[in-house]
Amino acid sequence: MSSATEQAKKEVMRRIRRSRSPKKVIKTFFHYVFLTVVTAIFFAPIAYMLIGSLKPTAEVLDGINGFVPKNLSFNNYLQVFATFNDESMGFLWRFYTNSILVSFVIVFGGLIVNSMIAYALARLRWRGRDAVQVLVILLVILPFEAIAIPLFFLLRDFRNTYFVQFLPFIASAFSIYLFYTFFIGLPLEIQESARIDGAGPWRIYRAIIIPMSKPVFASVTILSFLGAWSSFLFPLMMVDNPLYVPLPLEIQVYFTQPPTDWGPIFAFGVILVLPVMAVFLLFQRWFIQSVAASAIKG
Amino acid sequence: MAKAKKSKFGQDNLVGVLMSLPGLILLTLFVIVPFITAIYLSFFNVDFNMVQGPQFWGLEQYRRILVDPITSPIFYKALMNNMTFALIVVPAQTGLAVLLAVMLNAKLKGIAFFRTFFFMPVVFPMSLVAIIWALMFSRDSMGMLNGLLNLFSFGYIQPIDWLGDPNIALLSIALLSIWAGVGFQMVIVLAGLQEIPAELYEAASLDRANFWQRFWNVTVPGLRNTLIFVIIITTIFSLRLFDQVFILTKGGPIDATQTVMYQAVTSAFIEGNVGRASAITVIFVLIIIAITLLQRLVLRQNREVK
Amino acid sequence: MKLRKVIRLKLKKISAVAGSIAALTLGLGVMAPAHASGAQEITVWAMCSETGEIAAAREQVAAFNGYYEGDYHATLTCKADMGTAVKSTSVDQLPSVFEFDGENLAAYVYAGKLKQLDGLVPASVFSNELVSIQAEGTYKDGHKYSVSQYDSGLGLYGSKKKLAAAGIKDVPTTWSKAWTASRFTQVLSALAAKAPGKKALDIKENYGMGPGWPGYAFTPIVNSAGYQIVTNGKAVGSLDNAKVVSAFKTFASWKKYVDPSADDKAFENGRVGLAWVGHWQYPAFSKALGKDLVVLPLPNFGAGTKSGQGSHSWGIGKNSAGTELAAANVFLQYIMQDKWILNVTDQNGAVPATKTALNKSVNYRKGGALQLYADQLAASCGTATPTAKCVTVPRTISAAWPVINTAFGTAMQTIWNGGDAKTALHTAAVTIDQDNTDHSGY
Repeated sequence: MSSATEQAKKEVMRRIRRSRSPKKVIKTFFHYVFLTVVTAIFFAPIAYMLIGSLKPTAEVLDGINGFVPKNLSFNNYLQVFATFNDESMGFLWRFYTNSILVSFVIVFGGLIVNSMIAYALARLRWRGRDAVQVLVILLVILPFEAIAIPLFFLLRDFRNTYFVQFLPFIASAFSIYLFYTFFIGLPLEIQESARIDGAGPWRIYRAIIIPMSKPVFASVTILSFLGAWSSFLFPLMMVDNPLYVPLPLEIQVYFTQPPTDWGPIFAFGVILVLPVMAVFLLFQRWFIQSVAASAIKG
Repeated sequence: MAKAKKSKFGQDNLVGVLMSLPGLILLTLFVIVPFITAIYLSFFNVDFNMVQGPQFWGLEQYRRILVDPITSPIFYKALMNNMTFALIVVPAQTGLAVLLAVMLNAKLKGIAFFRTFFFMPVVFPMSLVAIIWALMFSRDSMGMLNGLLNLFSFGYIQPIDWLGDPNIALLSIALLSIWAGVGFQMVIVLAGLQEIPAELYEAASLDRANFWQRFWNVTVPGLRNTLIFVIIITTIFSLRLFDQVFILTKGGPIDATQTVMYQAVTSAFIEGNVGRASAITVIFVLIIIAITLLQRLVLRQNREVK
Repeated sequence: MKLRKVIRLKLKKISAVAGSIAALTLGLGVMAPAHASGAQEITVWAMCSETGEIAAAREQVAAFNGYYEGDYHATLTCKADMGTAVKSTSVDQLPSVFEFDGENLAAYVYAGKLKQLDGLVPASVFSNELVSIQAEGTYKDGHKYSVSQYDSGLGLYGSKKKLAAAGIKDVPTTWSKAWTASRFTQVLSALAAKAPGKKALDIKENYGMGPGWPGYAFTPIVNSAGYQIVTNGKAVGSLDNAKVVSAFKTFASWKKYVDPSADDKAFENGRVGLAWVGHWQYPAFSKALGKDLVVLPLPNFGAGTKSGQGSHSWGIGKNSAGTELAAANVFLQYIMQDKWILNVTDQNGAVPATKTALNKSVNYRKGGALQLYADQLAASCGTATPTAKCVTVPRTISAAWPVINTAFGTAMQTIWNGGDAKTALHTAAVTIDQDNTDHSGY
């Protein structure tokens, strides 16, 4: 039997199986129902915050009535703006820029520093390379919490600066590892021929490796951004001047300050998370691909 | 044709070292030095409250954490809480992630819409998640969860003290952590699912295998590597538990949500007892390394067979 | 694909925007703010622990800057958690002036963070302060290290209507007539029976029952049982004394009558008839209840009703010197004027810390609504063994207070959540004593 006929036969079998039997329709229906219910469960706390931010506090804390959109207004937001409008409490826009600045330097500084050392480990031969490789692998296992306390002790004279918030996090063993496994997987031939043509390692790195590595650069960008943006423990210990405080820390500060006014707290939460949600919605395919890609390498 | 620099230490000696230097300097300064400092400090009585300088204490910090009848129970309680938390969260979150990924792996219209919502909690900083849930966990009937329970049980279930009942507090923290983190795991599993060759499923269908048989004989084995990865990172995340506990329960009630990291941070940052915090950190690292190695050993054997 | 190109362009734009924001912020952070040239700069840290205090802090700093324009300029920073801020900051980075919780005075002097004020701040300012405040600002070496704008008042607030409806006729309005603990149990039961939610008391559980709030609100229970937390340098035998344990067991038995007050408004919104809280709630409570509000002493657990004292204090950073020190000194005296004391106490309901301000205060002078607090403070027990003749007890004046606070708070949380009072208090006592030994008795 020719392969064309085999193909045709397979296609017919497939069509028969996929035909709209009532069983299939019911299955699909329940599938959607299940997905919708789970989505509602996942979205409920977020909706609670969104709706609550627009309601007066007394109506937020009212059991399931907290979900009912009644008496909506932007008063809570106005209150948040009014609280954060001078240097004593900090400026709302500044919490943003603090987070943006710190994340930006960590992410982009990290892309440069970590990819360079990963390339040197993956493709170059130099004295001490093997030792450094072992070192990086060991450090991947070490979670940040292992060094949070001693970092606090060593750097406490530099509290309330930007440097202390980003400098310790630019180099990341995990990022190095991601780059490393990707670079190792790149085909050698292009590099070899470039070498033969006389290109030095820098040139190869810039002109060949980087353009070929877009996926891993995207993954590392997104993963390290997520980590940097939501960082809480280290800022908690190192920053308490409102002019330098990043967003996730400030929301906790606002929460612990009496009175516990839930309306404005939720409003602040919305202000905090809306940009990230927007970025996420725009770039969700990249987000999701990065997370997936990091796993495949793991 | 330019000659590549040759030296007996390797062709690209200078470039290799140069390219590695920034990363190495930063890693040394901000990872290696602090880690060694932690080990060093753990042998001293170092306290921000003390006027006299650090006193050498040898193993006294460790003795107090591990052996002393008055001060060690809290550490073991914290450790046990971390383990309990991991034992709850790892299966629950992984299982849920697999379930959701399987549900999302269908070629239905608009599936990406659902995937967005499942992943959304991941982009929330944990501090914000904790604050939203703080209100949801309120122990009287005004709390959101209690309100929902009341509604769905027609008033049968009484309000639960989610964060104040020592038997439930850790579960509550686990619940919100799962909500916040499952999207992350789900996406990884989904990618793993999509790597399973379609032919395997077709072969199973041809053999008249039903859904469960297909699941256990094709899906799960195909996901083996992915699941290993997910389990390892979820375990490590559970051991690092801090943010939610600090914001919601401060280790209580009755140390029901005490964790190793929370102990370490409170010792250093709130009590100023840096020596004790460093000792806890060292113990913590040893535990993490042990668990990671153990997991990799046990699970890697299967991996290599494949 | 075109979409990919669009996304790539968006990415480039976002990176560019983020990058410029980053650079701008970095520049702003490094740039020093420009002020009237020649003005001596001082840095001021305030606690800003509630909305009223934020406003008051801003107002007095702005007024100071306006009054002394060209001579001095103060920059105000609100610190979310002053305790950890001061603890984690080394002496050379401390500000010129800072506000702190008075309970930490001994700890800060011991750590070398506060400047001695004798000879700097005029003696007249000190002698005008309430006796309890003078004690609060004095270290064991006999010197003064802080001034305060206000002291605290702690007691019960009640709703006259609810109490009457529950048939309670012996409502005490002076501290000598305080309810006994057993009578209080009856009062709670009667109130709860008449309340829609079956709750009677708000103890501000939402402030947190761990280290912090209990150290102020519930240490009077220890005192009311007849003991200081630490007696003759030891907590064991004092804090875990049988009478104290019994008092806390009674207290824990009241949990069924307590509204968790997650919205912080159990009393204000009328869900309960009594609130165990301090002066800072007076503005909100009197707004909500008006003439229905009554102020009562805390229940008596055996040795008479006891209450807390001490609030925020202001001090000068140890390394302050020269013209900066002179400016800081001027600032302290400026805010100790009656005008500014009353400005903040009107907003947060606290007890004005000077005799002159107290007499001007509508709430605290004789016949005022909060006269009970002033009377309680006038009958301070100090560090002596508490008896029925004195009322307010300062939080243990020792550099060990932070540890005591944490240990007590942990015990309180355990007890409140059903744990055994004896074990909890004993563990706390042992922790306190061990810390004392570690620090060679401070």
